[in-house]
Amino acid sequence: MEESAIHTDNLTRTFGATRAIDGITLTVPAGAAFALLGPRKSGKTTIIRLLLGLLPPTSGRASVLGFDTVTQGDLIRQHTGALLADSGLYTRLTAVDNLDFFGRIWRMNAADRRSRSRDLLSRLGIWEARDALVGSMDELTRRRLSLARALFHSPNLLFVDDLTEHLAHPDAVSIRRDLAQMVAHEGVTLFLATQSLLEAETLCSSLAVLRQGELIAAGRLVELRAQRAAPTVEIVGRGFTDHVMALINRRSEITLVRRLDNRLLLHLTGDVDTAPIVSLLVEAGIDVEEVRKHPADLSTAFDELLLEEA
Amino acid sequence: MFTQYWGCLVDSWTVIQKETRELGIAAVENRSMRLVYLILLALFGVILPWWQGYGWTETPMWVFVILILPIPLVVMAAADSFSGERERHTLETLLASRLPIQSILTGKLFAASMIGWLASLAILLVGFVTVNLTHPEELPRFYQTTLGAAVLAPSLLIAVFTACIGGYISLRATTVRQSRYAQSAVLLLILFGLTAAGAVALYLTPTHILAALAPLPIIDTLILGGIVLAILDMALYTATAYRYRRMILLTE
Repeated sequence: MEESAIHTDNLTRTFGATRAIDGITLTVPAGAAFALLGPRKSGKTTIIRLLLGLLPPTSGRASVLGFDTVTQGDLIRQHTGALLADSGLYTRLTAVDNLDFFGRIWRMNAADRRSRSRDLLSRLGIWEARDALVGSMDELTRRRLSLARALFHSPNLLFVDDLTEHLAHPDAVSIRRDLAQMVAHEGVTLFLATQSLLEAETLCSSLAVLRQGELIAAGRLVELRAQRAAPTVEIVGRGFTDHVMALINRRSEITLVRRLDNRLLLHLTGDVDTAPIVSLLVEAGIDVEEVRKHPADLSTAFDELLLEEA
Repeated sequence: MFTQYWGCLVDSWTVIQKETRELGIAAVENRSMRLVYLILLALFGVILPWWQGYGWTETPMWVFVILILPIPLVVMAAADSFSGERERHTLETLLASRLPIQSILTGKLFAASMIGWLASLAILLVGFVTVNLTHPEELPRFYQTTLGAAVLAPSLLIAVFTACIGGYISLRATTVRQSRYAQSAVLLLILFGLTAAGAVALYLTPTHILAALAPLPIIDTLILGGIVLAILDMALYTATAYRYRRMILLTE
């Protein structure tokens, strides 16, 4: 049986009348790279806080690395690292001083702190900035340093929340690559909370989708892609009347139809032949200008998931 | 049990080292903090000692100064240490670390109180140098040592009391400025409250008891005040420690 790094059972957390987390059950295997995908305010940060034992659940239970989040929060924090939305770095101190402080927190001796600082800063390409004040650093260097800080004590599990939120696109690409390399090198389990499907796809092999505190999909990326992602056909033209829409909706190979001004977006059940659909539209009097077929795309599936019943 | 307490002390020391470093840098870099330090240094380290001459070391004025001087310094240090952590977005990462919450609280309280208290002593020391430099005609004079020794403990206890108030207020204050204002307001209220309570107590106490208390020497008064302050400090530390929890810090 696969050993789990995280297991939650009907985990729920309310704040007053608001259910921030609603009965979440999930398992993250040890050694996996797992993404918790969801839009802003969907409850991702609250789940991380619950898993770190910073907040108690209202009901349900969770364990991290075999430790109970309510009664053994200190042991969880001992063995995990956290790279949260804010860098958590002290801007008045230098890069090395920041790492040294966190090394002391984990009771590392002076020689280990020095060698670990050198090793991590060099591998992240910021050794030259070791004596610079964090307050004077650019956003990417600061993010790299906070990654070094989170991994400094060699945790078994790394929580990452909104890795690229404050970063410009090229910097976001760089830090994703750095995280992937560091996670592989350190052999750490990754729990990544993100709003970006691209980030989840780039860094993780399995994911769960969160919407308004509820888990709406979970599994391995390849499986989710196979289950949820469908090819689409975009038809540009004129004359999309209700009668035509009714005809289209009757087709078994079409799962979803969307009308957007002079465009029709059709979600297909699989890699089906679209010629009969186009013929049907032409026979129904539609002036078809253009037909574009798009392959299966998890991004569209993700958007659809979030829109369903929202 | 001993290992647990020792571990807590080691963790507190880690926090103290970080706080001392940060507060030291803030005293130089932060404009308002630097200004307060300079004003207090100029007033109690240079102007008053120069103006009063040897009277400065011989009258009990400096005793009063050493009792109140730590208050504004600790208010600034506590606000920066507690609310600054939240304002600069480092609090949650600190809470997500393995540090026990008691060690974070104790380390911050200790650093804020000691920095304020030691800075007050340093200012008083500058006052001594000023007196002797500006009036070189007589032998160097120092503060009365017995009185000095007796006032140190109450002065430190006042610093700890102020830091505890800072810690308690930081649970709700989101910015350093907000924390400073709230701490100042609470301390002023306490000061006015104590003065009013003292006046009422004097008015209500029978005259024969007052006559018995009147000849109480200043050192005895300081010891008595120190005991009361120690009890107050313990009560306030307990109340702050009870409220200073990860969940409260994250949700309030």
